[in-house]
Amino acid sequence: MRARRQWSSLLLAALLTFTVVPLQTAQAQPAAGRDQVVIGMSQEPDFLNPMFAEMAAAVAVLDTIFVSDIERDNTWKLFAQGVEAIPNLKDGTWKLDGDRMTLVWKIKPRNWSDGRPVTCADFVFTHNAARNEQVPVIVRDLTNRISNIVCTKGASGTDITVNWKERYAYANLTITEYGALPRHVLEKYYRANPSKLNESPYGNDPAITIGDGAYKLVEWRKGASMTVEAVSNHKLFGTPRIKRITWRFIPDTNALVANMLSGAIDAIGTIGVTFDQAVQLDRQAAGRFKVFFEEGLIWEHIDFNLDNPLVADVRVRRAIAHGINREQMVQQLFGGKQPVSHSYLPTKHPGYTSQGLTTYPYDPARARALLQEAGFTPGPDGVLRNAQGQRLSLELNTTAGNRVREQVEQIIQQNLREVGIEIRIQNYPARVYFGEITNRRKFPAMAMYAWVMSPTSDCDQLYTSDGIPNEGNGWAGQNYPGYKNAEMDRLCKAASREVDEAKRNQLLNQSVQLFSRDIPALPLYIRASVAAAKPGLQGFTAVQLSGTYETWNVHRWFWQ
Amino acid sequence: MQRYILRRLLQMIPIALGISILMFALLTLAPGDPVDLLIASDPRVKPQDVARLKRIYGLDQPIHIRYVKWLGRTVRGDLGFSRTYKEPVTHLMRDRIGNSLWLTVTAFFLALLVAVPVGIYSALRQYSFLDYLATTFTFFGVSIPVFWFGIMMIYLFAVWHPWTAIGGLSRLVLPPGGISTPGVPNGLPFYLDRLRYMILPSVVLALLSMATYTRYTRSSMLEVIRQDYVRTARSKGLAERTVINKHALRNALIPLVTIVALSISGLFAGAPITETVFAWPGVGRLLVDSVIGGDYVAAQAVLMFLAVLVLVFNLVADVGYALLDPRIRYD
Repeated sequence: MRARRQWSSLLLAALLTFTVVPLQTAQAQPAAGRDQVVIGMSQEPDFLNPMFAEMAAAVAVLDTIFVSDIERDNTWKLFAQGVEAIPNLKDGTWKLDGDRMTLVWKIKPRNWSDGRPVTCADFVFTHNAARNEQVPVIVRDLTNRISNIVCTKGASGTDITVNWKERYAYANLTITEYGALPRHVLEKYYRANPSKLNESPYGNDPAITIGDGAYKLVEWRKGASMTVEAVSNHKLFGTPRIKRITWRFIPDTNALVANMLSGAIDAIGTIGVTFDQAVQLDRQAAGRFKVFFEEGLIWEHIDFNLDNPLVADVRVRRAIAHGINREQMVQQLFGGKQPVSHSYLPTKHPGYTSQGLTTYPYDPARARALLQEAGFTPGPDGVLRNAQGQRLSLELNTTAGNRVREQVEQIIQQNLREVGIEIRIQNYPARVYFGEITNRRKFPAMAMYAWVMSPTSDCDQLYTSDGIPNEGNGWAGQNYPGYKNAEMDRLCKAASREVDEAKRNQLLNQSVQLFSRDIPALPLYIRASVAAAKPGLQGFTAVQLSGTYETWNVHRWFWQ
Repeated sequence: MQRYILRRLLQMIPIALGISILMFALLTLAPGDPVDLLIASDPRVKPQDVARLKRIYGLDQPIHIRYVKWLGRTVRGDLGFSRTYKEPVTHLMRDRIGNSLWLTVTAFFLALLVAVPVGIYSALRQYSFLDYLATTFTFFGVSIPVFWFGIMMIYLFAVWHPWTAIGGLSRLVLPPGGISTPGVPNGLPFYLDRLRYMILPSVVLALLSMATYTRYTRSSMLEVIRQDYVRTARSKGLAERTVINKHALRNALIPLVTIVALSISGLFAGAPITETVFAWPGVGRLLVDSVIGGDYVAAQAVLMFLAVLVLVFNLVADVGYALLDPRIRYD
């Protein structure tokens, strides 16, 4: 009996030690008058130096601590944020000289968060560092197109002239590729060893990671959270009403949802939950928070490998498009919140048009007629065969483990079986799929994945014949279907060099129409950007535009 | 014994080298080179950029040269710079291992504190109500998927918490994940805050090993109390407590000690699933994230560190076994 009591008390003591901990809990605060926001993100920024940051999560934070030259609002409209005006052809601030161009900029006077002024010299330093072969900056697309930048009123001035080697349609959207970084902080690391500039503490250590934005970095607990604090009396933004913004990094999206439900976080950014979870969260919200669904820029589609003779015939591709009930698919899977797409550009893109598009509504009879016209007749097993007796059996690949794509595959398989096409599903882990299969055009017939488009995306390299990856060009280019069309080449090349926006959009409109006729890839749907926030948080919306996130207007947020 | 330990230590060198070669080769030869993948993910990246980056990072050299260079640096204590986390891997590992130890060590002691008494009690009162209860509990403990249990605990203690309606119990509302409240000052408030964040993940983590340890203790105790020397002790007229504590328990714990010693290296490896569910920045998550993210520098360092720990603690387990059990002798 004594032994029993002894063990029982031991057990009880053990349990009590770990359950009754005398501590306070985070009490819910009333929304109005609050001056803090806690945002949940499933990703953690890798680095806060814009030159080396690779993750979308970093861009969302960088928006708060740096000023953009030109920014987009949530309706995709451009406005000058860090500069006095957007250069344009009419007033001569954007001059064309044959193939070359010159853009004249004037930056709005402002300071780094340590009080030193932002000057032309900061822009020159950053551009030169990005141009240096030894600096491990990844993207140098614009940097390589710029021949030089000149401080017209001295290094400490705010007047900048940028000379471009070649025509580039979007040259007036940013002064240089990486804007300005504080030269007075970074130069010593750059001089010491340019190839290790990415290993300098700038971008990691809050003490020296200074920016010119409405907020400054004050704390970064790696793997856990990051906090920025409002800069008082900012020359461009005044004093923001939200004093502190904290991002908490919660990699498991279910746990992220639980955090939202528990009230531990005030908002979930667009780099947070999946579409499915947002729908679920919306059902559970019950007035405690608002879930945002905004049409985004991520385009889900299926590439056809045009080297495969079966799908090289446009009638077969059109039959496949008619044979899949995409409208019902998006209704069933997404409640219609992610609409069917009809060409390669998202509908919100300025180059998109719905005029003159060839669309492929669900029509199995039309699909069967097209296949018959292409010489296919039904075989004994219900699968169609061509004149050579080859079965119309196609392999469909996508990323393994992506539940939504796997559901889409099953619907396609079922739909196409009814018109006599056999679909064999073969999925790969993302690393293998994007590292070996799609980019080397090793998919035998159809490959499903998404392109992340931006408001400046066009079809150069994506659907031009020089963008077909092959051994010779080091597998560069994104034309994975292997689409070759002289008219498409002409339109895409011209659009990427056309500086007149109206003319450019006209060229893109034509490319969108041509694409829908030839369908080298079958458009599926446009993914929605999803976010959530407590109803009291004003000014927060789901924005996700490669480079612009919900934080674009952070200095105007407030609690009500 | 000393010669045995020395021999084992020397044997570790070729084994560690073998592991390092295998690990380096597997990670390097895995499809989808991280720098090549940049091209696929961003149309603005050109082949020249990939060539330039490979040159800067030394990835353009043949694999055996890269291995030798890596080995040379690693032996000197330079574990490299993580491309994903933009931090020296030594810093990264120091922080992450520290975080993991908070969690794993707590869970480990919590598990032992519950499992050993429960296991002993179950064995002493075999087929009693509490024994059935403990056996059922261990059955659940080994079968419940940890991610599901984690989410349920978050839901119960952080989201739903129905008991808060009862006055005074609102203290039992726990944070749903993370490691600390941002902005908490250092010192005592920091540790108290950290403790609150640790409760859910450490209980979840402890449950798994708790079940295993309970089963080990129970079966080993059952075996021992049927031994002749226990009967002898009883017939000598010793008090039941002395019989259990002195004669049975000590012998019954020998297999458990081995299991425990072997699991110590696991404490440093963290717990990837629990850490992910509870947003705990530990070494387990670091390993998984760096492998998925193609950050081989970090992955190699973590894997190598864990491999060496496993080797060392295997030796510790073997030596500890010999010290505890006089029947075992190594020469």
